[in-house]
Amino acid sequence: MKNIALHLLDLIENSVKAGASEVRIRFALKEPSALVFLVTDNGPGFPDAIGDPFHPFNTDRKERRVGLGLSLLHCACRAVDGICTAKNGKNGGVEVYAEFNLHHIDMKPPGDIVGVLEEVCVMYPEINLTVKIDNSDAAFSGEEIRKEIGRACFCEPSTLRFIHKQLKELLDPLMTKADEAFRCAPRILQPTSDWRKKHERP
Amino acid sequence: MKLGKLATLLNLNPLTMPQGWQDYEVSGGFCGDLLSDVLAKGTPGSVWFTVQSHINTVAVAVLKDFSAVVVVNEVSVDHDAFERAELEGLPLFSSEHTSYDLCVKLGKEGDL
Repeated sequence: MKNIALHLLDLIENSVKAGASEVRIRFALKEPSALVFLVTDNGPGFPDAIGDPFHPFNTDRKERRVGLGLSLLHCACRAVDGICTAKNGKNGGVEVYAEFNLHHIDMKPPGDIVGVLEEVCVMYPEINLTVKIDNSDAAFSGEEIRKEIGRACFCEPSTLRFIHKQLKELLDPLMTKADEAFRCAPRILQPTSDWRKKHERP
Repeated sequence: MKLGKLATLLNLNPLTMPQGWQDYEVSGGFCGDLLSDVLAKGTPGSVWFTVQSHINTVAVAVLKDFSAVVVVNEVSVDHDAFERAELEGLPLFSSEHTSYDLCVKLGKEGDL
């Protein structure tokens, strides 16, 4: 997967396929350079028989023997000295936690997380999506927006614009910082002397 | 081998065309998508075949003094990566072929 936003989309789709009606996502930036998210749902959780959920051959899929979504997320985290855990929550459902070191050279770009969450709202109107940022009271709640507009569908252009604005206002400050930290990765490396000669300006 | 000749041979789509890019000298090649590995093993003057197409790809190519970057497998290039490559004078190409196919052709018909 090309960026973190696509990993997030994959996680949400797992929850939808498992029959969850609520998906909650919390984002945070941890000093000095970690992008963190926690995805929880109210689905049935991992079946007990599945064992290690990150093992690519452990899957409850019927159509094939391999499930790669969580394994790839785990690889992406591990590649950047991050942390990834997946377990059943105390009150049921799954809890997937991922922490990425944005300053690591093998870090993927964060990607268009706002865009992915908007798509989720449109593609899965039956899901109540909640998005929160750590240390902030602001939140995005699909359920509240639905109450406000008085119908289940988010397809109206005006509703879409409203959702876009809400998500953008909520996530932009955090994502701007994350993008900036991601771009910094190569600068933290020591450039070779040739490179210095060629590129350093007096 | 000159970069212009290599680009014609492999039928690459040029995305950035810094002045005189056709005459850039290519001394070797490198295939890899893990940036840390490319940093460790890449040699200056190489043309780099990869599916990575974000801004840090450009930074690694500049850092390693690569002659060019070829984004393979029809992968789209991030806009900020394209802009930075242009600014850095880094020739950036795209191709619908795989790294393997391009390198086979380069090995058979190129003079590297």
